[in-house]
Amino acid sequence: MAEQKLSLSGRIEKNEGLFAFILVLPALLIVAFLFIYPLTYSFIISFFRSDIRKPGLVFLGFKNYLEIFKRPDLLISFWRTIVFTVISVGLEMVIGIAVAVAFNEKFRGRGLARSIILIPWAIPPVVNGIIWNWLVHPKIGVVNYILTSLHVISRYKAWLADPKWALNIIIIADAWKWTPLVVLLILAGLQAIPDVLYDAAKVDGAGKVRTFFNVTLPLLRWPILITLILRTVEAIRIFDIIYIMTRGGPANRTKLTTFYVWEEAFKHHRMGFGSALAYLVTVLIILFVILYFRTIKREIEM
Amino acid sequence: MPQSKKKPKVFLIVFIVVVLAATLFPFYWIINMSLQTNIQLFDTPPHFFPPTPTMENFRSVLFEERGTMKFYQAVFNTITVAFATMIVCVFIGSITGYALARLRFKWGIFILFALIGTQMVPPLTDLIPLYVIFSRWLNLIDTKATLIIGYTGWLLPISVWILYGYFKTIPKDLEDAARIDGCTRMAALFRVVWPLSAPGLAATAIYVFISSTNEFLFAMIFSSTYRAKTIPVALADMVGKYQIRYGDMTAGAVIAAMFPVVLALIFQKYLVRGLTAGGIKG
Repeated sequence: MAEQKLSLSGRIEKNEGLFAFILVLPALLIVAFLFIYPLTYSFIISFFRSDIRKPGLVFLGFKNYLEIFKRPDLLISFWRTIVFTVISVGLEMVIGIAVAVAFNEKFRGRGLARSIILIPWAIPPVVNGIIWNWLVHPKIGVVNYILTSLHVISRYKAWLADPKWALNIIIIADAWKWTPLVVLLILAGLQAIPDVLYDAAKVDGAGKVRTFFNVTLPLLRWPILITLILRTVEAIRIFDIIYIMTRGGPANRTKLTTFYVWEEAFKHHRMGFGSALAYLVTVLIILFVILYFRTIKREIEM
Repeated sequence: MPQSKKKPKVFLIVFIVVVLAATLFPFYWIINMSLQTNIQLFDTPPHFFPPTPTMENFRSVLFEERGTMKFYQAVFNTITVAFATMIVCVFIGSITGYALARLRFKWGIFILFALIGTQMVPPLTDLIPLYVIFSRWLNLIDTKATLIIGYTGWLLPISVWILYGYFKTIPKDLEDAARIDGCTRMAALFRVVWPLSAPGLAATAIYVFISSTNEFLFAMIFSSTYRAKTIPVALADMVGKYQIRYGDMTAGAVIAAMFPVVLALIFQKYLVRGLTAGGIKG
């Protein structure tokens, strides 16, 4: 009799498993509709010729994938993507950890400093690209002005039109925007380290540098791993800044793989080929993540 | 002795000043440019402070239509899309996060990891098939609804993750007490857990809002007119055109940066805690 007094919702709540399932159902449907179904679909069309302008698919087998390995421009773009990722993420990690350690010290205005560091993180990537476009502008760029005033360069330079410099400028712009995130994540890790450990190191007579390498760094292993993965995944996908700053130029020097994916799929309307290329980018991301996990695991075992 | 102690301190201060200067200068520079006239922008040497600060560029970019460009419409679209995405993500994110954090059921952990796994996929792998679905089957290209749906898919997993972590920190006793008093589970979620999780909800909301206002690639592919174009897309349109006034672009960039930067600074405390919580505890 008591059972019958419960409303329908009351009865559902009694069954914990069922109730939980109902609560997660909206999220599951969204993920299924926006990820599982599309990703399956794109994996399938990566074996087909698929043009968005015309209906119908033509089965190609592995031809899309084989074409990628036959095209030198794409292979070079893969290599450049790896170089870009290693250099920009490396730079962001080294500077980010150094800044986090500095920001963990006590100094006046520490709260303000931690606010200021948040600004680049919040700025839209498109705006980041526009800002750096102006800074290195060939006619009115302040970087040109400062460097000529200091006699580092003799006259104004079109940095983004120079094949040797374009990707480096993009790396600098990317590092400016993303180093703050590294600082935030590492700083949080540093704050979780109990002071007792530092006191112990001091008693043992360890200097600041040795304490950093022997106490701090090993304890930051987990935050560093998380940060590395977050930043690597983002760096391999880089698109916005390149679109704003160089559109892949000069001479394709900054055309990294995701830019090709966009170009092939949405400018040349080759959805199947674009999907095949996109899947290889996914594989690249997975390889990086596996590499990190292995390295960190070895560190722990040592 | 005191000398050797002083030296690292000086080094530390110099380092921090350099870092802060490098952080602020690029942002300062675009604001500085946005307050100058189109003629002053071309002066050599460049002005390190606006000689005659003017809001003319802001008026021009917001209220003067050039060709098909309607920047004010892009501002409106951006805020609408970001706000709607935020509401959906916080609501669905909290019932999902609550179920995963509190209720025992078989697939809980699996679902949590599946949600995180979606974030490893490069967006373009997902955008190609989504474009086919939205354009050919649903005929939903160039609407704000498409952007809201797309952003929800992208930001919901992170929302669940942040809120899951937050709900875990709330003592279960409080909720149990409410339930003994006759609250249903849903009522307990909204009346007990939600108010206690205000910082977590705020962090999620702000993170979703900022991410939505800043997104570019999805918005560019899925919008073709000012029915749906957002600020980043409008700015990218300006970059590609030579006849655009430089002042318009600098003012547009400052407007685009203002929303996320101001929000991030106001809600800094919650945001940083929300962003870093998952990272430390794992």
